[in-house]
Amino acid sequence: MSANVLELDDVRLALPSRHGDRTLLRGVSLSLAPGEALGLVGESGSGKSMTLRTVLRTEPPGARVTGRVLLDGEDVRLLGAAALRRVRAERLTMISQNPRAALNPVLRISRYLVEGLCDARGESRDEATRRARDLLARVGIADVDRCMDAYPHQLSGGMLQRVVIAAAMASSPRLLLADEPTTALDVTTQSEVMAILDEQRREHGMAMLFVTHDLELASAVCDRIAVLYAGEIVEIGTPAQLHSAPRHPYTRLLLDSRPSLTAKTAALPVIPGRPIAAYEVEGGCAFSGRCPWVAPRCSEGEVALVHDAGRATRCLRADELTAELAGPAVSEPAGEPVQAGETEETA
Amino acid sequence: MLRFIIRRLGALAATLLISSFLIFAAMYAAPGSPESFLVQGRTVSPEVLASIRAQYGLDDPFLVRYGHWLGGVLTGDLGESLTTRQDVASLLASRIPTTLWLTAYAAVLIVVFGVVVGAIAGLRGGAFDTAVLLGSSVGFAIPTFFAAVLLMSVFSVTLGWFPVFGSGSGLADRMSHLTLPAVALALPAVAVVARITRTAVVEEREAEHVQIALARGVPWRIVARRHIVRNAMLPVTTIVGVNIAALVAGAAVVEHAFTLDGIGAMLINAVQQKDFAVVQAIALVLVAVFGVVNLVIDILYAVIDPRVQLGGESA
Amino acid sequence: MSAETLARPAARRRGGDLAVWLGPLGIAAAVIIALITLAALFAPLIATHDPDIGSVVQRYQGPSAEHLLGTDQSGRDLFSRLLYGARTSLFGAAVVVLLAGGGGAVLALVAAWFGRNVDAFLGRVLDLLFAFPNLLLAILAVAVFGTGLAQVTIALAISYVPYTARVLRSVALRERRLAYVQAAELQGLSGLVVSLRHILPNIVPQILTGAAINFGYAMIDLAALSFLGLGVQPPTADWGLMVSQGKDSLLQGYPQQSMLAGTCIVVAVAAFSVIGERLGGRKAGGRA
Repeated sequence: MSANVLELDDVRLALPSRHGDRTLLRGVSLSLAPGEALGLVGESGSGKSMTLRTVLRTEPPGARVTGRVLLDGEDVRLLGAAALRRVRAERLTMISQNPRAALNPVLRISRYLVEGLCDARGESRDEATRRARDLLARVGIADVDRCMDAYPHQLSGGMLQRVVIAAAMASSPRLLLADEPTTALDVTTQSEVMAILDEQRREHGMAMLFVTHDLELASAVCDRIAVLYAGEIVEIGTPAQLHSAPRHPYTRLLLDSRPSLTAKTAALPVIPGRPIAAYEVEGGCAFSGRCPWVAPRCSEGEVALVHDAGRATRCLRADELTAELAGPAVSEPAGEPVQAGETEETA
Repeated sequence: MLRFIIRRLGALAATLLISSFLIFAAMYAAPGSPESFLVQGRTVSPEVLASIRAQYGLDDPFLVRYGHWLGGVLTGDLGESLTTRQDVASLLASRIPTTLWLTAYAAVLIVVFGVVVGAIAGLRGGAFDTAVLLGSSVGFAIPTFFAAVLLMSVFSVTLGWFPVFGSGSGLADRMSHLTLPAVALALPAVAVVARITRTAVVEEREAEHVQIALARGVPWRIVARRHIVRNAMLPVTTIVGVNIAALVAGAAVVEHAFTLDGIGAMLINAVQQKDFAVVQAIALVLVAVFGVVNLVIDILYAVIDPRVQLGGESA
Repeated sequence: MSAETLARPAARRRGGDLAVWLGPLGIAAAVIIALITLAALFAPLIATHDPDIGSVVQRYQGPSAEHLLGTDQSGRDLFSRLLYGARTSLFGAAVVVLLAGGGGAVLALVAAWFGRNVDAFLGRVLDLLFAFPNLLLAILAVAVFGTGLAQVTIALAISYVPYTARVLRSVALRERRLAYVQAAELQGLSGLVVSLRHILPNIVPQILTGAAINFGYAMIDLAALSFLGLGVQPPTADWGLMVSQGKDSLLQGYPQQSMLAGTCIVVAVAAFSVIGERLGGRKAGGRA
């Protein structure tokens, strides 16, 4: 029995396709302490959303998953239908990218909120309605009556995502799975929604697995960040560690390729080549094909994730490159107000 | 909502008015004069012919005749059959129950079998689904008249379970007489509706909100009913409606095949005998029923889909 | 992505992948359609007897070397009648879908080109046609113009026009708004020229898809009208009419005429609807 809320142990996932099985996750291991927020950062196709789906067991039909997914020490991959439903109703919750797709368009908001409490958890309808109203008020919705009676198409994206957050908080679950919860929203409401999410999460003491392609956003809300590439974790560390001294070349290049708020550059550096999918990896370091620091030995055999003082890196040359990767600060050092708006609001 | 219904009823009335004009004009333009049919090849004196023409108002100008007819229609007087000399309105009244029973029976079959079978196929999948897919492909291709003949051959002639002809009287007898016709009439529509329902359910199953409801721990039974089937009913309602509306005309074929005394068979006979008074009346009735059924479907659709705003009314 | 990589899938489809796209069911349907078409075209060569002549003495015979599928109530050869029956069924349905497609295309082009009032007026006219169930329109046409294949074919085509016109209108309108059509108009080309040269070619695929999809419906509706005694008239061989004529024999215990003719209709309609579905489904699949 571990004290961790969530532990992934060598999770692998393959999807059958016309060209044989396609590997999407190549052994993801990570852990989340109670109340901790872990960011899963990577480009599209890196497997970050798929990782999250193995926890909820909502991976695409036909997917073959191996490895263990321990929620409070219990392997959710082994649960029967009834037990899985109970876990989903009581101990896990999810916020997805597009709230408009997440809600049934022909049912009222009240139905959505009450259903999660009443049908999923067996609370009485009156009690559920009372609690739903309370939850809406707590995510900053002013006109609770109107919101309860509204249909999804009558509310803005930001409002809908608040409703989803409210629903997610309803069961005070141990773990919140957030899959790019602000990507589909317009920029002005993004930080607002993110602030509410962060505040609610802290209030309820939930751990959070936060999937995003936005390293800055993850840095602002997460305690630790795991960088994914081609279906495996290449680096884990705190935002400060990653920003001041990235140890994997990919993390370095990710940091360099985002626009700077202070320094004006002629052209943003772009990571050369295109991201490869997990099933395209042919032995050796998955990133070796695009890495500016690649060495001959990089393509020989698997590279292990090496743990060292609270962080982990999957790079053979991590030690030799330490100085070079930390190198000239193209980006701002962590802790500086890169995402000033958000950090202030969340505080 | 009420404003929408009133407006649509108004539009329907206008459509009926224009339709009545078109129908009347078409019959007027038809070659062959009605009185030659009335006298039925007998040689009659010009005086008798003139009196017949006067009796039926055949010498009046077109618009006068149309106005006369329309006025009659509005007061429930549909004129007199040219063949039987009977009052068309009372003829219709005696025939309508059969058609009504037949189409209602078929409509129930369409909803029950089409929607239920399609929904189960979509939810369950597997062998049942494959069977439904195959069955619907074949069912769609079977024309009602062939279905009628087929059913007659198997269940009436060979097995003797159902009567071959007639509409029966009393509820049980009527049901027994109308079962085969209703099945024949409903068959292609059941196939189409089952197919569409199945597709809609399968698509809806994949919808993100359904996956999320399951991921929230909502029991499958509730998700299936409240999120999958309910949402799948949106496209299905339209298809069911179109198919039920089409029964109005399709009934003619089945009534003819089973020699039922409904208004459809009456229409076919009237057409063959050029009994225009009857043709006009039945055509108008069918257009009216067709319009009302379509209106009901639109209203129903707005009721089940809150996103539909009726005629710009704020929801 | 280079032009080369873009071009490759299209070239591959045109090559050998027609069979893959059709699937086993599609191939079967295509073969059936080909066979029926050949039967209709070469009926006089294949037929073993004159379809309209028989002797009552030989009625209700079972299959034999002389009469492959037996004879009907008048002693006519069923095999030969089925072959000839394919002619009226296919030909009638083809005329219906082509007239409906052509008429719909003309209305669509006119509505798209003139827009505004003309478009609105045509919309109203179509709405009025929509108020009549298909079959009713055809039955009324028979009341006015008398029975016969030509009458019901034209009447059915007219009743299909609202459906084709509605689909084609939206395609034509979309095309009409495209920059190159607007540019051609600004160059001073006449509406007729632009419509025919630029808009029409772009709606032709839709016309053909619609024709394939409607073909099955047209066959059924035409056969139904013949069954009602309003379409093809005896002694001409027609599948719908044969089902009808076979009904009395069936009640006397000789079901073969109705069953054979009905089966022909079912198989043909199923084959056409499979092909129509493939044609229509490719569009739908592309959108999804």
